[in-house]
Amino acid sequence: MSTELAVYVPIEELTNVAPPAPARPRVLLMATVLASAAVAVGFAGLLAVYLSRRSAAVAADGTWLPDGVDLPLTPGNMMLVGFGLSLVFMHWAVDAIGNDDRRHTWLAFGAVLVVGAYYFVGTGFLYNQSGFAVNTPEGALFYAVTGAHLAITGAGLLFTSLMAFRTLGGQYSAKDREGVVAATVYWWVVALTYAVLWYAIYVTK
Amino acid sequence: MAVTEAAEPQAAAAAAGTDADDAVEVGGLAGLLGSADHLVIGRLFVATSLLLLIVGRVAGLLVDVERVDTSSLSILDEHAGQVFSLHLVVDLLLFLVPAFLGIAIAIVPLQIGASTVAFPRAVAASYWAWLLSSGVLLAGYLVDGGPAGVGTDRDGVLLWIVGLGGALGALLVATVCLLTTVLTLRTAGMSLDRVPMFTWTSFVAGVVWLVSLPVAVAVLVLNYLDVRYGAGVGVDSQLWWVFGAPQVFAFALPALGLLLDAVPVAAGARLRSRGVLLAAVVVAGLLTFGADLLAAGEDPSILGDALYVGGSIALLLPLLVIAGGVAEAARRGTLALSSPVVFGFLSLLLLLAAAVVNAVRVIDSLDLIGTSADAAVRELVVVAGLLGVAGAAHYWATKLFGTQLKEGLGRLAALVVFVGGLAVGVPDLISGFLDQPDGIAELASVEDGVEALNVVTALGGLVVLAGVALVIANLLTGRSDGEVPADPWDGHTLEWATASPPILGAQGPIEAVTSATPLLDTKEAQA
Repeated sequence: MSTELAVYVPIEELTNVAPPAPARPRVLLMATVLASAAVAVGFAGLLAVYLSRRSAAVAADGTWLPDGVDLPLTPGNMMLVGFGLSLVFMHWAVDAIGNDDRRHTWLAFGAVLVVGAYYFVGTGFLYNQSGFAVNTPEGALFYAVTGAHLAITGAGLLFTSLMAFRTLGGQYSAKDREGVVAATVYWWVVALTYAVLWYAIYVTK
Repeated sequence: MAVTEAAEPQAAAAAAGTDADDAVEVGGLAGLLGSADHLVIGRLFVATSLLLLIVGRVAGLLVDVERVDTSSLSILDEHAGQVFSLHLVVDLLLFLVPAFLGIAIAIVPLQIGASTVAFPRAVAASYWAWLLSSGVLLAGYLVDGGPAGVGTDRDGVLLWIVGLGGALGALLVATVCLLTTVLTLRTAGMSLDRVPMFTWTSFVAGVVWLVSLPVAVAVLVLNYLDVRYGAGVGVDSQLWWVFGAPQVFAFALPALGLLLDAVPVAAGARLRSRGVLLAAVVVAGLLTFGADLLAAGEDPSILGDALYVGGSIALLLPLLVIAGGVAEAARRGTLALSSPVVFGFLSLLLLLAAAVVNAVRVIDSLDLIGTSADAAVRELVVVAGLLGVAGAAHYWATKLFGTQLKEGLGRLAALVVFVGGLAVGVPDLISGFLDQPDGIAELASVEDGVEALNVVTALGGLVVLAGVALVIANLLTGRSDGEVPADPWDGHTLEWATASPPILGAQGPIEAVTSATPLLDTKEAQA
């Protein structure tokens, strides 16, 4: 056997195929974590003002909700269950793309989008039921906090949709599922901030 | 490429089946508007914020002149409050933060060996959104707006709220991109403890901005509902913390990075106890977080809490540690007093002065909180930040602008700004002892002697403005003829291993980083 055969020749030179790309840093994931932190801090700021105003009102008048205003708990509870389910769906998407199972990834993403749409409908129903007036301190604070969470959720749905389309386009796979994981991280922030909102506004009223 | 992508130019060109060299360059306005080059965006941030600073300083000067006669508001009349808020908002949020962000966006990728910033299109979008929002904010003032306005038409106030909220949002997007760059795009071997000090201070400052400024956006949302629907939530005073200590220190933190980078280079010595200095910057960052003072505008007794008092006094410690580290490096080597070093040292002196005033201010028995001692801290920090921005522009001029700035003019500008800063800050502190309030309300209640001090403050404001003009003149008349040296200061860090001005996507000759001063290592190995 000739010793020349033992010389290592890179496969790229033999096949004229481009060498594999270097490992991509997790840029999108890190940016998502940072942006999520900013979103969470902003939401906490809004909630802090809400709680301090409510505390002051209760201390002064013994009550917070104006006459004729009602905050039914059922829609809030349903939405909380929905967010819990959506987290399961998100992790299903991560698991499915980890197995290169695109069909179930899209299915999981689709389920998350349905839950997100339900949240908008549910909040609209709650707005209709509650009877808050925006030109009162209680109403303005209620709409500010819940409206901000709607905006946070809307951004999450856009992000999830974008990642779903990228998955559809073949950008993510078992080897690189960064975008799917990033969408999941953000969705955790959406769900956790809702859990806080649910307790602080709908439960403790 | 979507804004969420961060592909390097070569990779993007390869994906498109073309060479990066073959890419068609678009010049003129279209090139400027469409550019996602981190150097171009950084330059735009710096240039625009410097121009806006003139607006802020002129507004501040008008306030100072108004206070020369404390018996009445004879010049600005009912608009005095609006002009005062214009001065604060522009100085801090339309100048200091965007100027440092611009320098960091341009320089940090070069310092850490990245070919570009993370999400370059998002960074470009953040600049244009910030510019548009700044225009809306200023337009709000032109139509009788500002935080409260004086007339019955509230459209100007709404414009102000939308403009400020948009500007903050845009700055936060740019901050996320900057932090992501530092966390994910460092070159091989450059661990976080090896990043250059300007990168580190920008990173720490960016984190503080990221976890504090969203609270200001939240308050603005409530403020909008208040003004738009007459809700009566009453959150006007809850933005106070953005323009007061300790938060204002966070806006000037990157100035320390300039000093910590420039002095070892000018002295030809490495920084010792680098870990301690990195930790001191982090401690300083932690102590400058001010969003927890959200309610202090309504309940000033919060400012008497041990946490606030202790934090205000403790802020001196990390600054002294940094000053000690810099002095030690300067003493060990042969320090050349280049213009960036002069800017950096004077900036540190003013920051230390501000920290001392802040520590004195919180002593309960002196009763200084709410007086013009608050203004003294703020003005000293703003001028320290201005010195930091100007120093950074001088230090990295070859990279930022492809020019070399005049050393003599630079040193003169630094001295002028420094003297002006002292002349603004020190009389404000003394006036605080004489019961002059922060701002221009209730001026009639002040004691004798305040008017003379206010004359000095006004003259100081004029001197600072002259210093700004000198800085801008130096930037406009920089020498770009002939070949611009890649390494004019005999630098230690990676940005000096690239051409001047850097070529987008081009890396320096360093293959792997094994210390915090990779270029110095290479030079010593070759010597």
